[in-house]
Amino acid sequence: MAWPWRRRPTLDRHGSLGARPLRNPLLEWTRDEEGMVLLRLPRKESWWVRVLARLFYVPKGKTFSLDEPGSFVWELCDGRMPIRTIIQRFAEQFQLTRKEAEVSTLQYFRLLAQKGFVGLAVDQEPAGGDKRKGP
Amino acid sequence: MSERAQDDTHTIGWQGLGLRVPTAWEPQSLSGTRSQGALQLDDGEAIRLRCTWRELRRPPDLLAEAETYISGLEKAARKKGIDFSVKRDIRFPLPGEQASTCFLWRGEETAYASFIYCQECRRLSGVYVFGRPGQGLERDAKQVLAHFRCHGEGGREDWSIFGLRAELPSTWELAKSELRAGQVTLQFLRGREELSLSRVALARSVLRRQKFVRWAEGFYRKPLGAFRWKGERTEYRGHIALAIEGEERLRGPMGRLFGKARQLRVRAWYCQELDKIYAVWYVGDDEAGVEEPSAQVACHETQEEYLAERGGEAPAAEAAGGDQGGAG
Repeated sequence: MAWPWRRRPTLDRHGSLGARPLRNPLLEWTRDEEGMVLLRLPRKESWWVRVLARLFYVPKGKTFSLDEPGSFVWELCDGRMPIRTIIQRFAEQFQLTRKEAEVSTLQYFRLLAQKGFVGLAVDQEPAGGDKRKGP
Repeated sequence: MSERAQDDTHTIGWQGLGLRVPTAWEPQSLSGTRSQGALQLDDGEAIRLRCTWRELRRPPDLLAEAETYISGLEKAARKKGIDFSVKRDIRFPLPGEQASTCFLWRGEETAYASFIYCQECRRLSGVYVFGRPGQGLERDAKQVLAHFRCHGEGGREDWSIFGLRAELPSTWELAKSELRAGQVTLQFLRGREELSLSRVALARSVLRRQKFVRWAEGFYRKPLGAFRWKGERTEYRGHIALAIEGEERLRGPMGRLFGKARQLRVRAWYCQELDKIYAVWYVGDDEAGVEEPSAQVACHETQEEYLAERGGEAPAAEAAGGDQGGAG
């Protein structure tokens, strides 16, 4: 039986390493004086936030400061470079073993993706790859 | 300390076993104890090496062991409809006098397998090197087997994974191993003694926004709660270091009456050359219990290099002097 809703696509290890992270274009980002990346997340403009903002002070957005490794990875999230290459660059830059870099980077991307700071571009399956049964 | 690997190889040390493998091969899974266990290494794409071991009461019939294994493979290949072939009696040189048998099989995978039995540690080890023929499989298998060690020497064992390397007395039993983001930890037990070795990556970034003592407080937050302790900045092997000394808090009236508080000794140092923090946590009755394991943890220089450079001066003595230095 086909599910009435679309199931969330899952990625295996190979798929995850081949995915290309892309920064959320809605996020503004700059660098501080030490060269670390500062992410600015704009406030949600829903009706109740607008009402609250009339009554109280509601900041226009949140700012997140990334550390040195985080900033390094963030800059590589241009939607062209696969995670596999990012891990390799990260390992070289911070003198890590491949496995160490993989564990750290994948955990970091999981966090960024959960917060909606990055999306993952995945190559589409070749035509005919849809294995769902027809009616 | 283990022999330093050549440029394109590194040593994996685990439960007394020593494997010299290409640098790209790293542990994918590690399990078991000294008497039985398995480890697998991959190169990022596929499994390249599997090693299993088990302690036996009497020497096994290696040929029978190999035949049992081969028949299992053959059966699995037949079920899947895959062609299967095997080449027996392959001779690859081994470093010791161990009894061994080696064969090559081609089926679902292609691999050289070697069963090795050591009279000294009484362990039967199976070493399987996977790959594709014509892509250096034979060379890899030869190299792995030529440097294979099934036990340490002089009652000591080399532990070496993910860049954390230390030679410890074999009386320490591994209790737990952990690879987390930026951190590798090995925890050992020996009677009522505890030893934990950690290697923390991205140290510059970690220490940029906090003091060394604060980092240690956070790193050991949970276990430190069971001790009264004080820490001070010091120097160790030419590195910025931290020494923590403490005593166990005895809990409950019975514990206070009859218990004996264990000593806590922690040494952590920041190796700028490798951008790593190395930390050794010792709990036990020996007040100098942290000295020896710390001296055996390799950072940017091996112990031999260290001693040669300092004219044979023992690092433990220098560390003891460093403890009297300025408080951090």
